[in-house]
Amino acid sequence: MTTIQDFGRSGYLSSGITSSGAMDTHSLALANLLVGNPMDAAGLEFCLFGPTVAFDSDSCVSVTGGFSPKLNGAPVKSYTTLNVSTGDVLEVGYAQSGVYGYLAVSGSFAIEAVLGSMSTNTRCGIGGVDGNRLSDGMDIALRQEEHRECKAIIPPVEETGPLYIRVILGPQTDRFTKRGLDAFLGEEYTVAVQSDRMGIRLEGAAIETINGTDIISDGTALGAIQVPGNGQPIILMADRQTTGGYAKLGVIASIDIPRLAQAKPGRKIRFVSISVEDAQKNYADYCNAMKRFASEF
Amino acid sequence: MKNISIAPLGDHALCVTFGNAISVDLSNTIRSYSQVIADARLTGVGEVVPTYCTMMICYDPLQIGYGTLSEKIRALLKQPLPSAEIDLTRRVHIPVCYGGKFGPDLSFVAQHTGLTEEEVISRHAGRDYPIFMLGFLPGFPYLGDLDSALNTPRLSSPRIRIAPGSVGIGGEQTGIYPIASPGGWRLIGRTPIKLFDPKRTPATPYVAGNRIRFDPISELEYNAIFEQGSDYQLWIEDGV
Repeated sequence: MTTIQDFGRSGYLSSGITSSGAMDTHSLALANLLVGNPMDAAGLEFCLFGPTVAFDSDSCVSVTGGFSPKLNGAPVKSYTTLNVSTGDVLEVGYAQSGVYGYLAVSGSFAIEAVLGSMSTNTRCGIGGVDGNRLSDGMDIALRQEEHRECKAIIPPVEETGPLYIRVILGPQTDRFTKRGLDAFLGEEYTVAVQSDRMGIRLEGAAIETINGTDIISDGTALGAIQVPGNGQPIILMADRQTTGGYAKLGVIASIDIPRLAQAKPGRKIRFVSISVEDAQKNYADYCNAMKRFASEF
Repeated sequence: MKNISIAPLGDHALCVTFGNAISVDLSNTIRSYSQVIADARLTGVGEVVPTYCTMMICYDPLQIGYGTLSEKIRALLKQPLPSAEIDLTRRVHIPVCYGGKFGPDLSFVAQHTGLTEEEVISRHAGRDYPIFMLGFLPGFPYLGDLDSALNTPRLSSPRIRIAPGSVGIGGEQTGIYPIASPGGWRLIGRTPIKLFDPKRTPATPYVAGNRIRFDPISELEYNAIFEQGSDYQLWIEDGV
């Protein structure tokens, strides 16, 4: 599925409208920098299989994520600025690694923001192009027609072995037994195939509770780890429900959301507890590093 | 405000817990304090989301850290306040076809509660439910005052997809799924009305503070209303 996503829609959780936005904001940011856009500009997001796009003007694009695009049939590099012209066809194809990929276009798309964002929320039918996934034959107008100086970024190395994901525990850890918490922090969990933009479902040792996991519905944050009665955790992602009634064991540290988003079904995950202070310091370090990196473009 | 607790909800939000029960007073208090915090315009604070028993405060950790923000919130919550009243003047009627293919869990709820299916329906319909909050999905009303005899626990494995308009019970709560969604509630009926329509103004025909009443209809009536689409006029009573 291909949709238009930026960094998401904020301020409407009280109306039940979730943030949406890119599952892997880091990869979208890199794609944008390569074409001279602000890091949070709207791009195309695709899952496991990318679109084929034809250009009817000059443009400048980039592809990030574990994909091997072809331009007019010939392989081109991802994580590189690509200048294209009228009649060029870019085929993104299947993911070689990871799950989500991004295609950024210089100047981004000539579409209206809805409630402050261009992100597509297919469930609500808002954002992107008519609130829908992109389909065959759709035309999307661009804001700029230009070529730019070519830049390249070294693509990230694919992580092998279990993915270590940092978690800030709470706020309902008191609903779980010590054995349950030990299982969560000590065992390996596997990403299940039913994972999608709403949530990453995990399979593994059931997380034991003292007296069940039903709570009175409260607010959900991006990366919140809900545990329903079957003890199998669900990590709430970009298109999550805005409130939920299953106890939350913890919330994934922001900087690990992109890494988790790229975990394919079958991937092993291990959780590590960190303090909110450390998580916020890590996030600040990441933002500063990205600012410095962006200034090099 | 006594006995509140504050905890991190990850590194971009925190959760203030006011209590552990569904009550009109608690809900009013939380909504009033949400307004106090929003009005304070603290640097780095984004949306404040009131729920039944808690308040979720979204913030930018680059502008303010968890420790500093929780201190400021605690200080604001020490102030006494007059509570907002739930709007008792509007009643919105929602037609619902109960049971059968529209309510696959009706028989489970009957079994669990020891009531007949007819008793479950008559206790669920014909009663005013105050809307405590909208959340979970656009247009999803969290309703108060479910007859405690109808309490039924959520599914231990949530369904991957629930049809839009489905009316359900989850623990002590009841509500309607306005759009298709995964969910863990027990489904007892379905409304043919589109509860969230971004092309309509307003997108949802009720707000927090209104009351909802479910009116049982037949499958024939369901189909007739469904066909009318956005031409169907909801029965809304004001000043009741």
